[in-house]
Amino acid sequence: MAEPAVLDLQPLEDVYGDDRAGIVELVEMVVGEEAAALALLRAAVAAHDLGALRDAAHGIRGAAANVGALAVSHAALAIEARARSGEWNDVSGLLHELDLAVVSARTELARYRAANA
Amino acid sequence: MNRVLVIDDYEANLKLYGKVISQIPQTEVVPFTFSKQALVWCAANDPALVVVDQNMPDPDGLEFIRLYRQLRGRAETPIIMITGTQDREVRREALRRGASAFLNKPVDPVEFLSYATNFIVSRSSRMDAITRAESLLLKAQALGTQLEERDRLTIEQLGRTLTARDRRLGDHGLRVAGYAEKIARHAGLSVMESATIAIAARVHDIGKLALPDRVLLKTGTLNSEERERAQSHARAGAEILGGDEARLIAAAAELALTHHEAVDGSGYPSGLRGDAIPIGGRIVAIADAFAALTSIRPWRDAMTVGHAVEEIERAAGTRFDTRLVGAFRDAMTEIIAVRALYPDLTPR
Repeated sequence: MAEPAVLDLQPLEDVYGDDRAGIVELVEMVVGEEAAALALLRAAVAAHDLGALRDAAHGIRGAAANVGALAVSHAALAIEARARSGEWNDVSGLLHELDLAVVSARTELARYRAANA
Repeated sequence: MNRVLVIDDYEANLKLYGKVISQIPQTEVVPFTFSKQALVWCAANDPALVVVDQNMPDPDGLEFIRLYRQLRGRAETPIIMITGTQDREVRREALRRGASAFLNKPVDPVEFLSYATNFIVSRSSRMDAITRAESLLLKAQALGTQLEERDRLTIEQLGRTLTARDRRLGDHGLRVAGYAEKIARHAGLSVMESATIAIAARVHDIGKLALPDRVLLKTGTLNSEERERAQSHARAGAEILGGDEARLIAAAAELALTHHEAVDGSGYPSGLRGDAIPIGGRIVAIADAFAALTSIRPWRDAMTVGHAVEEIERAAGTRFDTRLVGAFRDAMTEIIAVRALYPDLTPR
C-alpha cells in the first residue's frame, strides 16, 4: 500500500484561504511540541494502560486526519488497532513509527511556514 | 444569530469545526471540550445545530445525544455526529437516539459546511414559519374575540328589543340570565360555559316577539288555541336566531328551542327526554320557572322564594334535571342576590 502523504493541507487552505498562519497554528495543535494528544498517548504507554492507549491513538488518528497530517493519522491507526487487539506486542515499534511521522509532519510544517512567511 | 454547539475533546478539532461553521452568515460557534458542561449549557440555551464527536469521555457522543433529546424543547434540533468509525451498528444506535446526520473523519470541510448550512437554513425557515403561524393564530384569536363581542352586543340589542316590546319580558330575560349563570357554575360548568349560557339566556324568550298582543299581553287565562300559540314561541325563537354558526348566537338559538323541554319527555316543542335536552336548556328551564314563580302575575301574587324552591324541587326528575335542581338549591344565596337587582313591576 502506498505511503500516505506526510501533510495534505489543501482541504485546510479551502477553509482558511490566505490565513496560512491559522493553518500552521491548527496543525501544531496536533503535531507540535505541546500537542496534548501526543502527551496523552505517552502517558497511556507509561501507565501501561491499553484502554487509554486505544482512546489516545483514536483521538490522534481523527485529529491528525482532520488537519491533513495523514502519515501521523496512519501511524496512530496502527497503534489503535493494536490496542484494540489487547496486545502490547510491538507497540514500541509502532510508537517509533508514529514519532517518525510526527517529526516528518513538523519538518513539512516548518517548510510550509517558511514558504508562506 | 444562530448558535452552533460544537463538542469535541480535541481542541484542534473544535478550532477546525468552528472555522468551517464561522463561514455561515449570522452564525456563531459555542465550543465545548467537555460534553457534561455542554449539556448544562443546553439546558438553558437552544442551539440551531449541534455538532458532537462520537468518541469522548463520558458522556460520549451517543449518550450525549440521548441526554440532549430528553431536554424539554430539544426534540427537533439537528444533530451532526462526527465519527471515526465505520461501524454501522454505532450509526444505527445514533439514529435511534436522535442523530440527524453523520460525518466521517477526516471531515471534508466542504461537505461539513454544506450539511451545517442546510440544517441551519431549514431550521431557520421552520422557526420563521412557526413564528408566522403563531402571529396569525394570535390575530385570528383577536378577530374571534372581536366577533364574539359583536355577537354578545347583538344579543344585548335583541334583549333590549324584548324590553321595548314588553318591559316585563325584558326584565324576565335579565333575571333568567343571572339565575342560569349561578346554577351553571354550581353544576360544575366552567366560567366560559356559564357565561355563554348567561348571555344566551338573555333572549331565551325572543320568539315571543312573534306572538300577537292578544296572546302576549293577555292578563287572563289562555284558552287552548292561545296556549298553543304561546308555546310556539320556542320554535319561533330558534328560527329568529337560527342559521348562524357563531358560537353565542347558536347557543342562544339552542336555549330558545329547548328551555321548555322536560326531562320526562312531557315538555315542548320536541318532547326531548333527559340528557337529549342540552344542558343549557335544562338549566334555563329551572331558571325560567323560578323567575316566573317569584314574579307578580296579573292573576296572582309573586310566590315566596321558599315556596318557589319547593315547587321546583317537587318537579325534580319529571320536569327538571334532578342534579341541576341540586345545583339550583346550592346557588340560592347568589340567586337571591341576582333577584334583588331586578325588582318586580306592578301588575298590568
